Amino acid sequence: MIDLLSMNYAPFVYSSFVIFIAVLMICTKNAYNLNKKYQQRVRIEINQLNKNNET
Amino acid sequence: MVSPRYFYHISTTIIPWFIFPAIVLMVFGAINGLFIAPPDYQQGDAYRIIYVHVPSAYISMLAYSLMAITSLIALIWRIKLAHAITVSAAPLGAWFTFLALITGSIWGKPMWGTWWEWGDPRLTSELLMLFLYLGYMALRSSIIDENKADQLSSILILVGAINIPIIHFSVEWWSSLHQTSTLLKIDGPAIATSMLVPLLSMIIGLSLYFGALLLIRTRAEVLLRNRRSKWVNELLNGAQ
Repeated sequence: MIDLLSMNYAPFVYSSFVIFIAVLMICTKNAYNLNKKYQQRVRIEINQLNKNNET
Repeated sequence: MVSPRYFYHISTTIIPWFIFPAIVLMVFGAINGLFIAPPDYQQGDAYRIIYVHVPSAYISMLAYSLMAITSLIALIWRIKLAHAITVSAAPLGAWFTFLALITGSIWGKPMWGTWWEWGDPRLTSELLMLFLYLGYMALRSSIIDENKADQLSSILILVGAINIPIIHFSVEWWSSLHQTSTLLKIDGPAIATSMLVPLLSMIIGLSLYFGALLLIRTRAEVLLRNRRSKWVNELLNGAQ
């Protein structure tokens, strides 16, 4: 089995990889949230517009 | 030219084709880079930070270059999709620049004995790029009129594009703590194949992942910008 902590400078190396993964996760979450937010916003605007047209 | 409607539908189809190969390549690159590639004869295992630092730095410059190209296209030919791409690439570029700076700093501490060196041209020019990204986003959000915001912020991006060659050549033009280019050398990459393969895998994987995130964000931006179009109305009412 690989001894993960036997690597020299292990805290530096692993912390870099952890930060890398964290940033990827943040970017992914932000992208999907943006998609959801804009879809909702546009849907509300369209519904509002349709309501106004009906009245 | 690509219509927003066509872009929206084609991007929905191709996003998974970017994400899955990206994850496979990055997992392969990370495992090989961390556990299989041999240690460096000078830096020991600390050099393994290269597998996250170099791809992040590469994407930070790629995102800015892409924004400069799309800004130019948008200003000359008035293509709105180009503005949508520019807007969508900015937060991603900022995050990857931040990542390049942080991982570079973590690498610098054991190798140079310092987290940061203000006099170093590579470090400061990369930091300047982060400020350009943040400045672009701040400028855009401070202008209410969308067309005006697009135009003025595109000009800022084009002016800031001068920083790209400065970042790239800074290690050759001035004396720097930062090492010179490892991959882009006239006589070939200065790195052993066993170390190069995971690095290329990470670079290609992260590029694909960046592409996927950019498509997701641009897709949302296109939807918002075309909210008064018939196709958006049909799309969203159909999805309800």
